[in-house]
Amino acid sequence: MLIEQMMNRHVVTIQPTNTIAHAAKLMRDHKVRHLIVTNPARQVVGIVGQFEMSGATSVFHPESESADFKNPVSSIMRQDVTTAHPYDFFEDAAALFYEYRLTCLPIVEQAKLVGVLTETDLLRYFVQLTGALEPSSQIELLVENTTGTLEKVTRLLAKTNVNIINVFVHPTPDPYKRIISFRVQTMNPLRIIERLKREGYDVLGPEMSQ
Amino acid sequence: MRPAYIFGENENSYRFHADHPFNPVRLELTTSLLIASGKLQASECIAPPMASAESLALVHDPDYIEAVQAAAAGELSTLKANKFGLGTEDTPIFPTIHEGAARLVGGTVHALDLVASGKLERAFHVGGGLHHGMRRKASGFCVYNDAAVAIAHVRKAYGSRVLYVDTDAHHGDGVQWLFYDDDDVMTLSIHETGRYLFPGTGAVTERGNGNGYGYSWNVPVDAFTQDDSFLRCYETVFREACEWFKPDIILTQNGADAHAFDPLTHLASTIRTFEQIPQIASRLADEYTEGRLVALGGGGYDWYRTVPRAWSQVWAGLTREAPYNGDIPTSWIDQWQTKADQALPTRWDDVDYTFQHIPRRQQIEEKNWEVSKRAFWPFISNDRKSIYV
Repeated sequence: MLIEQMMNRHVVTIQPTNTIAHAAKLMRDHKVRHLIVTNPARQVVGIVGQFEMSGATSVFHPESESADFKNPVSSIMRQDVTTAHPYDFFEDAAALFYEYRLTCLPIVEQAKLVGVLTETDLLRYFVQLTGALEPSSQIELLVENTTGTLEKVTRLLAKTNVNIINVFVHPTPDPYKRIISFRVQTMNPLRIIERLKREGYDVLGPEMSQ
Repeated sequence: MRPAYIFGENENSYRFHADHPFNPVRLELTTSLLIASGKLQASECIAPPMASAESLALVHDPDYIEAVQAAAAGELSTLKANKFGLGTEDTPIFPTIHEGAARLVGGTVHALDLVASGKLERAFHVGGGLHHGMRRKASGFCVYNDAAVAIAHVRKAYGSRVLYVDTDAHHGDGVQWLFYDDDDVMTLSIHETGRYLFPGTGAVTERGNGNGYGYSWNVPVDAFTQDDSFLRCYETVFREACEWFKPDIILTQNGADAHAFDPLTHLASTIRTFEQIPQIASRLADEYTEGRLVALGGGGYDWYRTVPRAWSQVWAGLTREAPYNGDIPTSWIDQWQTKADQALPTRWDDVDYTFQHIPRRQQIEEKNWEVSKRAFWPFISNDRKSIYV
């Protein structure tokens, strides 16, 4: 998946010369937690998030609050902005979020702002990936981490005439084991689970003890 | 005023095949148990009419209804069938699929109409509760969504505001999604978490959309949840839903698959949960809807031991009797024992059975209670919040 396919194209932006009060209003009106600061050429020159906003005034000087709010956004914006390209992979963007603890990633093409990706967008995509939005049951198997295991299991599932909505392969603390989790389109996975157990698979389920 | 009891042998027409978990024998088992116990006269049973295509179209897309009819006639292509969730292991096609499914809808529409129109105070349609049916897709043993059609019908005919309460172990997803944007229909589902169990949805964060925000509540409880925890969560959240929504009518879905014996789920209730669910519903209906209450069946795959007793207790709740107790009539046991694959229960309660000890019990109870509070917290007044602090 490319960032282009999942990014938000409607970006709430602000000019560096606008006031902090205006920034606060924009965030409130559009229900966003970040504003991308752009110049008239639509180049990204900074970013203002809730963290920067909370530093705009001081609780020790409440008397100067209204004056503080008249300061320009450029006085509080973060200038070293991490950006990505629309053709970057989703995985790369996710790694950036993780590595730099980002909450918002402006997407830039030919030096111009074209979109934005937030934590929420990543999470939404992740939920879609898990298949959890379609009615299905989950079957999990603890298997050897060797070639051909997934093929054997899916061959078996095909024989039970059940549609697989999604497959995940999770690592486990043991490098020689993997958990394969399937979301299958049936309310009655019992016959499949019994068949898998008959074939010697370790089928995981809810744990009764800690 | 006696509640209406809606059941007819014509409901046998919704039967997939002998090995399918969703089997109409459950309705006969329940009805015959009530009759053998002297709680119901055979003459009281009202056979459900078939719902018209027009009525089904209140929530289902016309091309889906046509597809089900074509499937019944054996004229639906595999490709199209797949698109509509038909011809799967869960909802295989059989000759009376349309007639049977439409009859279950007809029974629920009739039940809710009797109450919404003011003719009766209460009704029970034991064959209803097919809560997974989607607008244009069969899912989880359900073809048409009887509760949703009936709710849409009384909305249109009488403007009634319905609180739908679903205690099936599976999330009541179909009904929830069909009214997700609607603030005149509230859905409340308490179910086993979707971690492993079908359909996987029903998180506490699913609260409704747009105008409907705040009118879908979900309480996903942990696997191995037992009676005390289930009942505490259910009663508390149900009461808060009544306070918040102020319903005209309460419609309950009484799936009996939260019992420890149920083969499909991982909850650990005993029959005590099913004695109390309808008693609590009855009391809350008396408090909040002048008694107006309609009950449906639903899931429940331990056909012989659990389901007939659980659904009979729904009748006890509706008729304002205490839960039935003591011995099960031997005439009923004699009637069914040869057909059953297990020994039939000899008592209304579960004292003859032993249940597994759940080592995680305390942890599960705490988690369930926290989730329950999260379900209603944004919607209750500060006064009521103080109850829970």
